[in-house]
Amino acid sequence: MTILEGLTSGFLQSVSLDVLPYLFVGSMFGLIIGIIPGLSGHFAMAMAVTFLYTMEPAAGIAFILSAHATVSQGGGLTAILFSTPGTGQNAATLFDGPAMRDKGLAGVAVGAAMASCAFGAMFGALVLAALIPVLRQVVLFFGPPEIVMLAFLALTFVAVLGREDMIRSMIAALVGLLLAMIGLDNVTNTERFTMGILSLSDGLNLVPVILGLFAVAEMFDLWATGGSLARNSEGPLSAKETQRQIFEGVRLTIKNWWLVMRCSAIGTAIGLIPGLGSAAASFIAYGHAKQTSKDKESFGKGNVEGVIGPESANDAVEGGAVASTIAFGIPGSSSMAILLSGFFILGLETGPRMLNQNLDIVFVMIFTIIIGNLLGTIVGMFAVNPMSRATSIRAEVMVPVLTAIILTGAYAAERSMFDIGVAVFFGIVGYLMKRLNYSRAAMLIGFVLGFAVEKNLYLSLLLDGPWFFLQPIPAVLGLITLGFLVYNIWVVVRDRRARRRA
Amino acid sequence: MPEDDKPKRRFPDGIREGSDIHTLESVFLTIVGLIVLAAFVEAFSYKLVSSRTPFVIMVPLLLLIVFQSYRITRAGALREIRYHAGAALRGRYAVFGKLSRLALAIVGFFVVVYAFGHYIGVAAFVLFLMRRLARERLALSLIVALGTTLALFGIFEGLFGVDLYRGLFFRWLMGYRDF
Repeated sequence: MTILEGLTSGFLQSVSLDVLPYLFVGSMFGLIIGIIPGLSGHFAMAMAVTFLYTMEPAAGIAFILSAHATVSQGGGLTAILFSTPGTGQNAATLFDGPAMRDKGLAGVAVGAAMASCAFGAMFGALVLAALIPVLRQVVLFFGPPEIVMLAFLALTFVAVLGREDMIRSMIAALVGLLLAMIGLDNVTNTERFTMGILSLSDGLNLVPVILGLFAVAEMFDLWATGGSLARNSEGPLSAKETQRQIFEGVRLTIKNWWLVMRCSAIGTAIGLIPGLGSAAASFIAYGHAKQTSKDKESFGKGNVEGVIGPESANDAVEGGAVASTIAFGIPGSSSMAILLSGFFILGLETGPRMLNQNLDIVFVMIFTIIIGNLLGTIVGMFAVNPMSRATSIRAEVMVPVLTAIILTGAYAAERSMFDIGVAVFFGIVGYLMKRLNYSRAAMLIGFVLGFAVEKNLYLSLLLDGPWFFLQPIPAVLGLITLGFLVYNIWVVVRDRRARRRA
Repeated sequence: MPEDDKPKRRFPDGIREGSDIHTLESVFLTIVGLIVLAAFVEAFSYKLVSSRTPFVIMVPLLLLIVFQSYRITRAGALREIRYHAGAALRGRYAVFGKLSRLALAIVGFFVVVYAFGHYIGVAAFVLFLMRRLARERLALSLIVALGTTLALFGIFEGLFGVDLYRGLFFRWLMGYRDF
């Protein structure tokens, strides 16, 4: 399939009646999830993934990706209105969003945040489209040895660069890899670590593990916290004034187009690096916006550039993150790991096949990011007040309903009661990991990559012998991994020594 | 778990602030370590081709677990673990109690679904959590429970054509006797 054919087919599928309703529902779902603090992008995707079994590839991809695409728009809204970011990626918006609200400019901040998100996402999607010809060539150099080394590189990056402690994250990543070993070994057909349980013969199913780690665990957390976000708020804005301010926010975003472009570029570049994620991108973009502003002093006191910068970057990350996931099958974050699981469920294969035979699906992704964000922005602009009421739902009402839906979703994926138990088990594990600062993203990525790592390791040893990692590309990737790990361990040791001396 | 109710808590002499989280991590690491160790021993019974990758994963994993346990272990840690575990089991940590009740309710949900199917299970689960554990109003609890059940029916059976589990009792009523 040529790029032009893929583009045309992808566009036509995205706007067809077979796909567009899923895209719309996914966008709205993501927007609402983003508004509810404690529920984030990977929660939206984890919930969405349970429905993929019944969908066609294009519809499924549009559904899951649009749910993720609009989460940060909803999260920005609560960061501004309630000083609580709906998701971690909106944390940088807290510097200037609430300050603008206190000045009576909440609508301007919301409008700027939503428009920046949409423009940032479009930028990321266009970069992804522009990268396709390059990726099609690069991916040809990646055989089994390269994939093995790249997987270790990604896991190391995720473990080291994540917000969590490095040792704990490495434990989580290795546990994830080990979990992938459960079930029949593809080479010898030997059952491994199944404890004689028939339901484990095919290994752990992805959906209940994802739902457990990212959805059930969040329910435990919400239940422990209790109450609702809106209890401390001063009530919604007046409808007419809000609309006027929102359009002013959009106008200001367009006026600051050069800042949007720069921060979006930062976001997209960070998206290409596994492990950094949207939160890091938005903080770096905030720093850049402040550094380059003519009015540095007003940052933190309600400068609209302090909202535009981070919000542009956190949605632009998606384009970069999707690029590495589709080209190499190596996800850089928990959301991308869930997206990769979605590919498996829909019968899609990443790598050269995705970039050649299924190029239309890649363009469906690109158009989903663009259309989903546009839909999110338009709906968000006109429905700020009603949507902000979602924050008044108490955890005592939300948790029972969502838990019932999550556990039913765990069953529905394979129609297996055993999977409900798996989701509950991983829910408890996920909650403990969250409380104890162990990276759930590293564990999920390890789990998703485990199968590919083992298969490619086997092929590498078979085709190239035990010294397969000395070939040029694997050697470079191995050296980067090793150098990165050694450098970060050295930094930790150095800091500890400095603290002791102080 | 117990971190949320810190301001209310007073520890006896020798029990340090933050030792509750250390206790939780110690228990967590011990369980994970034992499971990995069991898997390590089990892997010796497989052919080398099948056990090679698990060994490559488990050797550094076990070393990291030991290292992390060493990192968080402090003098007097055993006494602290005993103290916190006892306090949690005696119900002195409100959040731990709250989450344990939620976990038990989920187990109950599983049993009810297995016996009576998804719809009865979901309605009973939502009603129990809202009315009994969260002390919400009965009318609201009933409305939410019925609404959730109907929504699940609409989404799964109506929209996606997924038949949810009807339960053993329903199967028995339909004449199945081989369970």
